[in-house]
Amino acid sequence: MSQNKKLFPDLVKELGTIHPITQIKSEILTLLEKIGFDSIDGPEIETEEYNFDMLNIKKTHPARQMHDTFYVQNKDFVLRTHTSPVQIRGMLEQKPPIAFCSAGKVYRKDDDSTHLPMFHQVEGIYVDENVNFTHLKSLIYKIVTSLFGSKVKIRFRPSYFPFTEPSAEVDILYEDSDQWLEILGCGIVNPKVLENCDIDPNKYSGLAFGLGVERMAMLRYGVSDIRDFYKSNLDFLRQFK
Amino acid sequence: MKALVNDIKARIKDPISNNELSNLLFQLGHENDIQDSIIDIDITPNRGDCLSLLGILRDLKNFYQIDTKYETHEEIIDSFNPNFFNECTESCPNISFLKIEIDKTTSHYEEYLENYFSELGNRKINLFTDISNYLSYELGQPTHCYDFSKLSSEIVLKTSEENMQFETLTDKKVELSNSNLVFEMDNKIINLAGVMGGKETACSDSTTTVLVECAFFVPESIIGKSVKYDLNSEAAHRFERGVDPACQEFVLRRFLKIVSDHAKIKKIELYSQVNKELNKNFIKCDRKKIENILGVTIEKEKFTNILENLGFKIENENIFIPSYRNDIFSSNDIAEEIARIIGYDNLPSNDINLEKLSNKIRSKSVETFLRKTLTLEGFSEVINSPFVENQSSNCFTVDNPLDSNRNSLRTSLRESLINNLLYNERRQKDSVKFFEISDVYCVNDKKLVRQQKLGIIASGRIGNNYKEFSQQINKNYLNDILVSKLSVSDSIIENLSRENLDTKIKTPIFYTEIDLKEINGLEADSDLLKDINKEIRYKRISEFPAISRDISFLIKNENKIKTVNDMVQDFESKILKEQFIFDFYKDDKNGVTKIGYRFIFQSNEKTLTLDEVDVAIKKVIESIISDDEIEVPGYS
Repeated sequence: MSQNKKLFPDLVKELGTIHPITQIKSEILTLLEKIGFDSIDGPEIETEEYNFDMLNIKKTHPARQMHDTFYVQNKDFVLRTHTSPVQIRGMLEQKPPIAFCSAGKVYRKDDDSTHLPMFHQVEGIYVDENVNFTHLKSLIYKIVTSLFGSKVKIRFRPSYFPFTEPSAEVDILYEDSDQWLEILGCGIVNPKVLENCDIDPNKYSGLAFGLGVERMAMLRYGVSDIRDFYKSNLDFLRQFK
Repeated sequence: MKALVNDIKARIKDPISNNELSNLLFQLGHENDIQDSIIDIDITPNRGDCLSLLGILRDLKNFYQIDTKYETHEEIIDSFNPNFFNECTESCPNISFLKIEIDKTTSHYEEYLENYFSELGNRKINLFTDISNYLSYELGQPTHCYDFSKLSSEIVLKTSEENMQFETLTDKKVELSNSNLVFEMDNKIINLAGVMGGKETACSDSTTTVLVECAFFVPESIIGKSVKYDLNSEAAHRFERGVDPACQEFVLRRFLKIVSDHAKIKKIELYSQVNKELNKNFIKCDRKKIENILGVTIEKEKFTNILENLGFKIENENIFIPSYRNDIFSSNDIAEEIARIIGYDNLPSNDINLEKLSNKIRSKSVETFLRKTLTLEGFSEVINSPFVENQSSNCFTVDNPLDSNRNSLRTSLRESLINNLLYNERRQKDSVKFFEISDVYCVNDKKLVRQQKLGIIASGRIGNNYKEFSQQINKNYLNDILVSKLSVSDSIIENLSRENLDTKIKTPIFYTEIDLKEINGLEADSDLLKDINKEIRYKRISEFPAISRDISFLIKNENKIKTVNDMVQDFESKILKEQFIFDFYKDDKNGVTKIGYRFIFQSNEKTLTLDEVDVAIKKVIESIISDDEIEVPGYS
């Protein structure tokens, strides 16, 4: 009988696919959790206070305008434009030393082949005594080489975010490409943000970073149109088994 | 900002290659791209001071000998009363006017001015406007030119009444709403301050007497106006980010110098209003603190040199900030300046150990469990946008939606999943099984209520293998998964009506939605990561229709079953997308086995013809039935 069985073709049960964005998101989160970050979570509908004010994003900042941010319920709330308000909530609840990571959907008023009104971010924050830029660099190297392999070339360059100072963007040279690709934003937590969360900036300092999941997924899988992720096309999804 | 590479290089005394310049600007935080003679530099919003040749050159002073002196008109200029009143000294503390009369205008420009138009692709308008535009590129300070002969009475800088009309010098009619900072003459707006001048008083080819306005507007009074009124304005871009509040007279003297390079000046007069003496902004010089932020020690001399080359002055334990830098407030900002010049890539890195801090709080294991379990049952995960048509009274409404037909946030995943199903059915999928895990939000008594939901939808065949191919998804099938795999016993499975759906397909649709709270306690024992295939490279999917063909093989010798299967699976054709066994029957009485294969053909380039499919299918069959013990009934 067992010999007979071998003659027959296997009864193949087709598996479904976990969405490629979920796969990348989980991969990054798992990595951060292994490094020592605790996962926290927050709502996608936020107040301006948590999404902007607490993060040192001034009332006049262009990001707060109606053409960049979705406002809801007669401007009572916003759809969070980044996952950073989750960190604010975390810091208000728990005092340093802390290391949090969070992932989720964020919203901005964009719609083209590289930007969508809804996309995913993963970010992390670490606040302790004597955290400095050299720690940020070491951590980012660890994250980037874990995600893209140890051969990847990494470039740090100055950038601007209201909630970090100094701020940096990180580019990589991936595979055989000769084009630097931006993959991550990071920096030393702006002391004003710590102050907003009742953390003494003279005693504590922090580092923070955030990255776009779609961008990572596009790079990793070679998908050129971000909209393909959200068409629900089975022929597309089945490729990510 | 676009600039001519040579305009930058000309002022750097040392030789410098394009590559070196580009890399150095990246190190300083200015993303850029050099194509031939033009460099396109992306300046971050905090660095408005770099939106000019002068600004870029100042930032490079730590690396090269650079000439940042621009020739100006040095002589004393008579003052005059320009018939101007400033009602808004808060929004515009400093403003200067320069009146210039020339003998005649020209369109033949000196090389430095000409290049700005011919090589950078800017459009020439008239002498004064062209100088104004060039100057903004050279020094970063916008100026506005009025044709003096068109000014008939007092100019007032004020906050406008509501709903006034304004015609720009680019012939665009704008309806201004709310209050705006404007220049008015005879109660008519002649200039939307800091954004764009008006048509009525604009310079032309025949202008020989010009009134040049040069102001410092506080960014808050300009922000958002150019976007709001859809006016493409270089001036607004600079004012929004902040110009140097102390440069107005210098800029006008430079303006004058450029005019004198192009025309004979008959008369000049200058008016300056400085309502706010500029305090010299400073912060305490705390080198130790800066070293702690960066994690490195910096020698005092190096520290001082870096900052002085950037225009800072260190005196009496204080760091004085240059007037053009409106982005420096704290030691963290100074730390960034030091780090930029040293180069982020040149700073060391030091390991940290976070494991000791961790409370081992992991991302949601219930979600991981659900994803694993459902994909094992053949369900695929989808992620949908939350924007839907107005659904219910308790949903959140978006004030400024991208699409006014989708201005609500979904409170259920049902509609999204139905759309996913129909989308795939239109693409000839006869077995669709999807799930989505997402937050949904609703308003309850003005409060935000957050729920995490799992939605599952299924219709058509259970699967493609020969056991499941002939079975249609029904309520029991879904219920069985819920009860035995997810341990959810009391959820409602709906049989959704197709009546109002845009489809001709008849198979029943089953749907269920579960609050994640009800599935608590289930855990996935291992992380998802293990299963992730990192080597996947995406292949473009086809939007052309697929054609399927079913072929049954009758096999008389069961030892040949494997041969047939191998040959079918190994068959290569550019247009064959997939093949699978949908029917398998072993007739022990007659000693034969029947295997039914479905072949699905689809091209990435075009709609296939039936002939093309027939040719391919014929090849498959004939390569297999050359064996006497294998037949395809009905094929001859």
